[in-house]
Amino acid sequence: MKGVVKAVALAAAVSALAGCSSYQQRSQMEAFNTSWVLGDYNAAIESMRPKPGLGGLKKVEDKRLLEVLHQAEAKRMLGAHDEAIALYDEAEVGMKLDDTTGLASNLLEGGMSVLVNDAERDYTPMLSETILVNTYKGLSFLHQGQRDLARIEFNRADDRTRRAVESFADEIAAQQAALKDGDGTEQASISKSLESDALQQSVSEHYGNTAQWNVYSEFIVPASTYLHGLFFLASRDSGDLDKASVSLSRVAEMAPDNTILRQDAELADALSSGRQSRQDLAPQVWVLYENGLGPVAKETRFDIPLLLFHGNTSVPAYTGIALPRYSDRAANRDALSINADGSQFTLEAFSPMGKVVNTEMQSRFPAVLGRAVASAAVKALIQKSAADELGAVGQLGSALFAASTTRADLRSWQATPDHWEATRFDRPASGALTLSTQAGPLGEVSLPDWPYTLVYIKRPSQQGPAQVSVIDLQGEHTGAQFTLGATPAVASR
Amino acid sequence: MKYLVMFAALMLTLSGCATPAHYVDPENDQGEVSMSLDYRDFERAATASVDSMLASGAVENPNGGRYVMVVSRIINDTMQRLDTDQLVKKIRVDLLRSGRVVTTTAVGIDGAEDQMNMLARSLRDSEEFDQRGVQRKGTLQAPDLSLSGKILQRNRQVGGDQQVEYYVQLSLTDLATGLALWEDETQVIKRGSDASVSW
Repeated sequence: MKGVVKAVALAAAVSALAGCSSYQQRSQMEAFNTSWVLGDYNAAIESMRPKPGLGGLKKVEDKRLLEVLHQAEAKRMLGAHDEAIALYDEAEVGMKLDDTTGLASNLLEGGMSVLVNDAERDYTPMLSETILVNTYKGLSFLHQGQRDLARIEFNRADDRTRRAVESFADEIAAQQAALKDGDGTEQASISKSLESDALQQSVSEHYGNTAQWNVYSEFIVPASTYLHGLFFLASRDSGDLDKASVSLSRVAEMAPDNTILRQDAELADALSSGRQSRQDLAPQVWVLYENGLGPVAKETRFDIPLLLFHGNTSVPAYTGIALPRYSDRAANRDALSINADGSQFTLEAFSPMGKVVNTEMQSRFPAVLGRAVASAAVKALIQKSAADELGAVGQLGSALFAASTTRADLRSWQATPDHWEATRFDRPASGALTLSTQAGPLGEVSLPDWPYTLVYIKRPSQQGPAQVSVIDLQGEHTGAQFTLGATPAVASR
Repeated sequence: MKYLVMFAALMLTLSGCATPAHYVDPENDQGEVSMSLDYRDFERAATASVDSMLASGAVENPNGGRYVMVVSRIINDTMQRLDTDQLVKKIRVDLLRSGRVVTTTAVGIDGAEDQMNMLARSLRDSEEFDQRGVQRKGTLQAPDLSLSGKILQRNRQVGGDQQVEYYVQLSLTDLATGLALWEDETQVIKRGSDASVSW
């Protein structure tokens, strides 16, 4: 009787701990979003302050990566570019540690992931997030007039895009290798279950067919590639126009209906081929608008059929799995209007983050599903053993453990937008832009007399203000940043 | 349970493995090679470039004497934050030792490298200074040659490894004619783990 009590108590304790970390992660992200939507970036930073590690020491970078990412972007929104860059640098260290952590850590993490759920692993950012880290850092350096450092970040973003496709294949290969190295019974149960038509049909019915998602033909974060292209278009260094032409053409191909992107690709091509000279080109102004809130993961739970192996026999069983499924949040529907010297300029949308994330998730899905099925199979085998050895109470305790630890990893960087919008025009003679929405004017932007100016606007929600940066794309001057359309609630803080 | 046992065993094995600090002989450093550019790569690239420049005859002044060189822009087109001055300094030192080229610090792409060149001249006409020691007008020497360049990085996957290719491209321009008297490219190719980014 004592053994049974201990087993039930242990199951309850593990369940409580597993549920606790998932709950903490979700409530932390909710707190961030509440402040982020209102444009209260100081509160957003506070909500994402990393908890100290064991002994009260600062956690290593990969253990606080998710918090650092959120804090970095909030700092950038506040115009604290030095701090934003330092935090993004920390995030890059964390990302590298996450890629290269030693065997001991991976074993422990992998074990926890299978026994509990993916949320127990250190946060591994999506590849689209890693690319945006370098893009935002590049923007911060450009804002500071540090073109040499901005160049490095845009090069990094480009290299991460190149690496993405290889990474998807590596993740699936690692999953398959882990199955080969596993315990005989567990391995057979997981492999045969994954191969079964019944499981695939169940996933298709409840989660949807990932092959039918709206995705890009190849992995890309168009806004990052676009900024890479604009930076090298504005550069006067030899060889850079070819890079600009490649990037801008690639982005234009991904959004064939976007006339602005097509015209930018044509401009880069004309400049690089010598058909157009820079001397004949009027000073250019790009407006890039980061609109709304990016997609977030929600949990999808459903039962799947498993084939559990006991010796030479297999027993069918139904058990639950939880998978993350991304869904769009909101874009600002109140269109941004740009006027200058009697002309109105139209922004055209591109780079929807939902499509970017779907492209990535479609490639990563076999690995995500594999981990979820492995976790379900192991828990089902534990339940069977507990029932055999401890009877009804053992079965109840292990069932409680399985139910409370079957959770999807819903963590993601919540500071990304729904999509970007872009337009380009000759610098107006007055140098003044008026930004407005249907709700009323946002304010005026004064354009310096630079040959290539980027007006970068980010507005997560209409409940909060728009952050506007005026940036010299050649990185020869320090930029300006200000807040437009502050609501009274935000302005009073 | 087995994971915990393995983890504990690995932790025990790894503990006490920290390398104590020690001196490294830069001429014979057999230490681990990183995927990024390090001082050994700068050393090799600079030596190769100077050897090539001297062998080309581009810095042989037909009128005798030394050429005056200015360092123009060396673009870091890699993915790592490099101090390009580190590369250039080694080249300058070797060229100065050759006796054929001297570098001016009075002119630079972002202003004078040594601002004291002009500051010292601001003492002219100051009653506080003995004017016999103050630099006279027209003594600064204009450069004959300009050294510019670019460090490029190209990454690719080779088999299961990552290959990182660095190209150190340098040009020496005759400022009288605008012609490039000498050009050279040094390659640094590294192959290693593809587990993460190269920087």
